Amino acid sequence: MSNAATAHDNHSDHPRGIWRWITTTNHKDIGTLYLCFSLLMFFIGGSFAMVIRAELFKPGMQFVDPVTFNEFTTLHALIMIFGAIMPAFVGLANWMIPMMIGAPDMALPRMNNWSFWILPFAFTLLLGTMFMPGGGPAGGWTMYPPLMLQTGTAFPFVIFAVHMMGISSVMGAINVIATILNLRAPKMSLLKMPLFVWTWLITAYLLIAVMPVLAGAVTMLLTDKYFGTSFFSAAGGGDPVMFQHIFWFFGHPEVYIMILPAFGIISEIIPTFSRKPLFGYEAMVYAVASIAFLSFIVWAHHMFTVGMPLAAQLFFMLSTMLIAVPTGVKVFNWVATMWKGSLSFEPPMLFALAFVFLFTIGGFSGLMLAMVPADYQYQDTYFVVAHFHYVLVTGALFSIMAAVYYWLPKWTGHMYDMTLGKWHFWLSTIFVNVLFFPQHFLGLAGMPRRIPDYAVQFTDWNRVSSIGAFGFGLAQFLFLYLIVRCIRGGERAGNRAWEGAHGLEWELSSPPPFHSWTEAPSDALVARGASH
Amino acid sequence: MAGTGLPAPAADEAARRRRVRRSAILFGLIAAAFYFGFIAMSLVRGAR
Repeated sequence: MSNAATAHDNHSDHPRGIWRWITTTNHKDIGTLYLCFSLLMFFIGGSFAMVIRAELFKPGMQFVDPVTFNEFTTLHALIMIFGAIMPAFVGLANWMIPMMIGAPDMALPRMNNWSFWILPFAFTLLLGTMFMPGGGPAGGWTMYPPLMLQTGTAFPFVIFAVHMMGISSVMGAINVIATILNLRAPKMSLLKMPLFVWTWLITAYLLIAVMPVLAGAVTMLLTDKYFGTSFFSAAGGGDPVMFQHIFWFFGHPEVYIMILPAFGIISEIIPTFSRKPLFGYEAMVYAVASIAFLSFIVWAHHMFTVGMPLAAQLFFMLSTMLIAVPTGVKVFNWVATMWKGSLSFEPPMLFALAFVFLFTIGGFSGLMLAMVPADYQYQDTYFVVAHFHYVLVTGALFSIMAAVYYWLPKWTGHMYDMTLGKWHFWLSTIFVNVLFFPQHFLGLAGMPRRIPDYAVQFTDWNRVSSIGAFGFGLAQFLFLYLIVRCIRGGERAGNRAWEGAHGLEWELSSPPPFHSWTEAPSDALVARGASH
Repeated sequence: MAGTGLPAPAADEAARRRRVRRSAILFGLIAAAFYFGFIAMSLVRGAR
């Protein structure tokens, strides 16, 4: 252990080339691997979305048969959730948490390496199922039985891939918790931690509680298919609705796993570009904790139409609506932080502002869906698709883009092209609304989700939505180009790349040294960083 | 880089390593409990 630790501490002789990336235990290297992997998955999942929108450009069948269409919707969701959004946040956590809390690295560096390197195998396996007899999974990312049990040869491979993703997430979460609880700078109390660290600590608890639940659910699916059990088979005395309860006990906190770190990012960016401390820091922490708690008691709002007692419907409706209170606290505090601030509108701030506006739209449509009688109308329509894409694209994804624009100068040591960044922002924001806003109208008019063909009255808004999708997809190549250009060179970035930035990460050089804080930061530095 | 300039004493470092290991084992066990707990719950419900 001590020898390994010594070799690990000696960062001047780390391997070069591909071996460096395979064997690395350095938090920044692993963060970079996660971010690159999530960018690749974002483009693969995005290409599936392009096929989906091309197919829906007009009624009738154009490019793919219905089964392939269903495979694309299923894999688009699985890849975007588990391959793009979650690894991007884990990458940001890896890069930033040790630097923000004054630690030299993550607490469990070798487990960190494992957490990442499981993922490429999991997703190669998942994508490989498309080429197996019977095709890939086509029953939706929710994997409801009995439909999911009709998957062909691919079934056990999908289940194995989901298990690997779960193991990776749980190991990542253990590492985040162990790092935050044990490696903070001596004078950094919990209530002095940056909001991004706080949101990740709470997210990690959520991950540990719910990823094993998903793993348990899919294990039971596996035994139902191959080992003669009947957990979810009505014919054998089981209950298919029980799968939905178990799945959504995982699935709803999963939504918050994808949005709480986003709240943390936005809470870092808005004060920087408002040149003011965050308004109501403690209220923000308690709001995040409340949202995390509430996320465990709202799962059945995803399944009102399967039938449940009136008391249960009322409970899940009201508990869901209650989430609006801490979320409202957060939106209020972000606005109050900007109030009378000296605002400037660089790309991170633009994405953060778009997040506040557009995520709130997703929140409002969520409130509409929470109402039981209304949900009976909206269930399984494009209104639901519009809702969760406002939460996950203009919410989670925009926050990741904001984070990349915010910390890229720190990571690379170079400033990027601001004009190009603003172009990327405006094109993304315009096209994302052209893409998803009309889907509210389609849903309210009754267009069902997960169909490759539709009645002619839905044509116009589908066309608009598809044009938005193509524009949004193309705009992301600007993002890729900007990142590559920034890595390759550019104007030197100072240690504190943004004038209003606070926090320990800005005390390190840009790019930071191989190991972030080889000595604990002084109490004065901690106090200066924690000026929220 | 500004810092305290004082390396962590070996005893502190050993204690910290113990705490890290303990947290990892604890949270690993919690995760395993959720996994097996939900399967056990489903078994009990199915047996009724």
